[in-house]
Amino acid sequence: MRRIPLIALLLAACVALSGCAFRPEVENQAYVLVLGIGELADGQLELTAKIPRIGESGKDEKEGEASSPYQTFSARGSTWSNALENLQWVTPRELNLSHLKLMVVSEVLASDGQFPRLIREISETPHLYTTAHFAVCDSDVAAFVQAQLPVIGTRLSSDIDAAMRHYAAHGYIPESLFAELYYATGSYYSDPVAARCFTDGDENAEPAALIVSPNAFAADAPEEVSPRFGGCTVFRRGVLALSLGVRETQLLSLVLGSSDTLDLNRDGVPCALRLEGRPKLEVDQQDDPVTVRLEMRFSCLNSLESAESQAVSEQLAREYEALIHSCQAAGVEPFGFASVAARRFLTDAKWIVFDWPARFAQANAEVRIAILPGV
Amino acid sequence: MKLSVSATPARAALCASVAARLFLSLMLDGPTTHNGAWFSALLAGTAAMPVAFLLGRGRRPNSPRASRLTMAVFMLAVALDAAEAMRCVTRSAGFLALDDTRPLFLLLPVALATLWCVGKNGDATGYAASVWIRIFPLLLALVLLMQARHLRPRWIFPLFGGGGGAIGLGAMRAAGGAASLCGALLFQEGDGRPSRTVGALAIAAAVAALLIVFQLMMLPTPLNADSLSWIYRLDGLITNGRAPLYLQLPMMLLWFAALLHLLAWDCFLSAALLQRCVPHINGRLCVLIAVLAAALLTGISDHLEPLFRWRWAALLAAAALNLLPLRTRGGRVCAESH
Amino acid sequence: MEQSWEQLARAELSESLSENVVRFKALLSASVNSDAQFRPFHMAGTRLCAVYIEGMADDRKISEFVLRACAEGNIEGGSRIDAACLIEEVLESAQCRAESQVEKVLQDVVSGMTAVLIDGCGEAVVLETRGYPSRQVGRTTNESVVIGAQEGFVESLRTNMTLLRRYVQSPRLITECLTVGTELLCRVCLAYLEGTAEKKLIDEVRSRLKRIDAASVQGLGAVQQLIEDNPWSLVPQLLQTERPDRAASCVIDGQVAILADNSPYALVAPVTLFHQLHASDDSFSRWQYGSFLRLVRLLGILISIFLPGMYLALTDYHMHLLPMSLLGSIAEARANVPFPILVEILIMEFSFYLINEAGTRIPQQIGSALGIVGALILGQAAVSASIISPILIIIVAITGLGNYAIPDYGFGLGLVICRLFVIACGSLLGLYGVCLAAFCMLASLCALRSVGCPYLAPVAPKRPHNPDILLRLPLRMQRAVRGSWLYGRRNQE
Repeated sequence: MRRIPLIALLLAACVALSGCAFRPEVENQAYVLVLGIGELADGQLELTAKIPRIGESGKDEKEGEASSPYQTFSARGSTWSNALENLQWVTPRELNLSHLKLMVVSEVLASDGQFPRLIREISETPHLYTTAHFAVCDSDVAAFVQAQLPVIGTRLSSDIDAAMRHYAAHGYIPESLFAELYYATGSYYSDPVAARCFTDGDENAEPAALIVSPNAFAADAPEEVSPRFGGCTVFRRGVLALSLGVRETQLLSLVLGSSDTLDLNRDGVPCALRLEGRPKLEVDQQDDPVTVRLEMRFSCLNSLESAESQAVSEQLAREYEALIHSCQAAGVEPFGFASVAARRFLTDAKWIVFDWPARFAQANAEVRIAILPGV
Repeated sequence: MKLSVSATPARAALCASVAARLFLSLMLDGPTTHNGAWFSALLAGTAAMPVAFLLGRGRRPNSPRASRLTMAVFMLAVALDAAEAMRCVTRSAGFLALDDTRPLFLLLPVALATLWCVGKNGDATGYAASVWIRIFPLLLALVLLMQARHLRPRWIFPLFGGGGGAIGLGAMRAAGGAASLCGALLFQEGDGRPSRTVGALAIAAAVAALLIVFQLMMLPTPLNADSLSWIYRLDGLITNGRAPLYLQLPMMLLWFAALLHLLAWDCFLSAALLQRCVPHINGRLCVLIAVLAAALLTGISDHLEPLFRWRWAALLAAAALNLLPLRTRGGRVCAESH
Repeated sequence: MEQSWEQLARAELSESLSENVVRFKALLSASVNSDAQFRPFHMAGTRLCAVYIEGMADDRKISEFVLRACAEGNIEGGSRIDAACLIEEVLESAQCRAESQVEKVLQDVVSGMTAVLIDGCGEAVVLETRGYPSRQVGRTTNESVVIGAQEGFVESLRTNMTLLRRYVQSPRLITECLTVGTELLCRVCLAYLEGTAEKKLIDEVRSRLKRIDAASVQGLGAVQQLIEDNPWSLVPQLLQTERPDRAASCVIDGQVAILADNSPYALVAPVTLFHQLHASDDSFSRWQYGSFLRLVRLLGILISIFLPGMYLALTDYHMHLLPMSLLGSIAEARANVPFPILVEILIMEFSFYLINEAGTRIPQQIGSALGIVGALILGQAAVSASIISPILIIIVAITGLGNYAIPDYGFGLGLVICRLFVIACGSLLGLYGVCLAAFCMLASLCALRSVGCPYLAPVAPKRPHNPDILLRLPLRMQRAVRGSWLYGRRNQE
């Protein structure tokens, strides 16, 4: 019987001291699904958040309202925390960043030398789990976020996931998570890549020239502003160092393993290639400068003559060599050669002294492409 | 109440807690080893073996005075270890969801839970660990299955990370924690053959090394790991954004369960050793003192880093001291004590 | 000097019939007790008196086997009649014995037997004439199975012992009868298989039964509470079963079954957590089906304990672990609910227990009304009135189903209380609290013992056992390890 008061006391202590203060209920929170981070002319950060309206679904049908099930809020601030605080202030609910699906950063901001610090600050934000997809926007970030709406599905959250997966599987963009950028920024392996995005209705933006052919969307171009993904950017130590078009991104995605098919168009004849096995990356460190080798085997889904196969493989090899050279020129290495080279080193110190970024910039590139007989 | 533990549950608790301790020491508390942490784990497990062997040999000590001194050294070591574990539990809880809760209020529930569990005596603590040992592989398999796509084996290179010095220092630090957890050999009942304890240590070290390798495959090695905060490393372990968010659930269960078993075993050991150092003291009071001490030391365990580095050497010396036939005042070697 | 009731009861029978009759009339308060019957008769010139309780004893048996037998008995007049003579030459009852202790005779009489007092003899003959009304052996009510025997224990101890013996037809089956209670005695029977059950276990159970110092023991429910190891524990440390086949299976495995008068079930000791999870169906079915059912049951139990607490922890503290589409649905459903999730859960849990309890007490004829009330009030109306969110009804319903999957009623109730504890911890500390609660429960289970046997054996401590713990492997793989694993010694047959 002596235990009863003791147990009661302990339980009371737990309840009284657990610090369970007021916690906003699940329906009283503003879940940010898309967050745009742009830099204004005066150097201020502009945050734009896309938030679903809770309790609004079905209301449209009942009352015939035309309101969107999503709302967009914007706020500015001199620093990340300041801007976030202001965003919290303009949003009439508790801001919840835990379900962030897409983080979009303006190209200007990503190219800024201060961007690594911003990456660090973002990652240290409580409950902002770094699983969000990450993209660099050529055009107006706020407009891009504003334009984000479910295209095929009914929920934006699943729509973003599906879209990013779809684009990545075809190699139009690389698999790009904020976490990958965050962790790779401070690491000594290859440089991280991020997806590119733009709004094709934005006349001020110049996405088409850089990323895809200007009339690529002619057939299905909607009248309103529509968000698009295509191409990629490569970061060096957390700063945007190189932008790649869709074609180059497709080539890179094959090496990175996020896609395994590639469509070629040779003199108007379509040719579908499928990557067989994993790309073989090799680094010959004995040479000075070092030699990097890329070996890939494709099978062709169409039947090709051997001469055509040879031509296709040569064309691909040339494209890859050009890609490697442009990366070398920009001082980035997104392919994954670093971790291959690192295998030869026993300790971090030796690896760091080896200075892989400088070695890669000077490296000789050998690309071997083999086209296997079609199925 | 006499605090006691049988050999079998003691081994289970040792295995579970050493694996957790090595992982915690090398991946969160001491990151200087980088990619070489797996090797440090194996070295630390090996370094703890002589201590276990000496303790096993010294179960029938030649001198009660030496025995008591050995127990006191081990008691202090496990008390420090308990404080470290408790700090880790509360910081993890705060990081995961309760960041707006004051540390004291995070500490209280875990202290109460530990009090409750350790109050059930050593066998219960040990058997709870043996149940955990059976559940752990299932949970781990689930995590690895879901995480498999995101694991990058190439990230474990360069294989020896920080190099020999860092590996050695990390191993020394972790070995102190692992060796102190063998303290049950001083009083456990039943089959106390050192070979079995050494076997348990070997398994624990292997498991810890394996877990470290998996964790290394999950995150690219940072350039300057020393400057990274404890929270960064915990974030990389549990809420790593490279893996799907829902994976946090099994990860959290794995993490908390491992830490709680480590904490319970630490607190039980310090309480049981205290009871043997101070005659005629009630076991329940010892448990209360051990948990309170762990809670109080939690606040300062950050500042005890130099102590942690030399803990292993102190424990090895204490274990060896237990074997020495110290002479009493009468010039006669003391008879068997206990 | 007038003797007290205790003094009268503790005396030996006298040789004077009148004195004995007066004594029994006093002990049975015959002047006011209308069903205490004293039937005097003569035999070969000797006066005798049959003492019995009307209703408890069968009138037909008394008339046929006592009165008629004595009237037709071939005893010469003037011969001295004593108990031995009656038993050997006159009475035709299969069960009769001589007894000289008043207390024992009295206990037999109140239990339905008939005592024949003989003038000039210091011993009475006690005959088995029990004939009180009792329920026939019928189907089990709480432990129904799809495949397997359907009969259950009844309130009659004798019938229950017979049922048990029918399943264990072995000369080694011992059914040891004891009485417990200091004032109102309750007959209990200790059943075990000699040579298979450990002697230590039998002695321990027997000694615990004998140590019961309660004035009255109302059936096995009270016996269970009086002999279990830890009365503070939320889970029962003895198994209650109303199935003779299950009790028999436990006895065959080396456990001890306890039966009692007026208790339509048996207690089994010792038991482990895994016994509580097993149902009779498991062993009747093929191993694949049995194993599958066990996994379903285990999942049900885990859901029953953790689901509401986890739901609370996830929605209040770790909402990022829920997919946004699910979180959106939860938030939408809760948009008009005025209560916090904790209150919502407590309302629903309480309503569920209320319906459950009412369903147990409600007369069978109007039982269907309860379903309507439950479904309408809790299902439809509460959701329509935005008191409860629909998702919570699903959570509580699944939790309830999980709880019903637990074969043992007491164990299920214990888990309900554990669930409330988990809910409290989850609401205070999120998953951290749930982990702490689970850790405390695990340590408590590890510390628990059932008649000295660790509650988590043979897993913790690990002991040699049949592959019949969580999964049930094929019968041919089941070694004949019996009983001994409960106490940690290998005893393979």
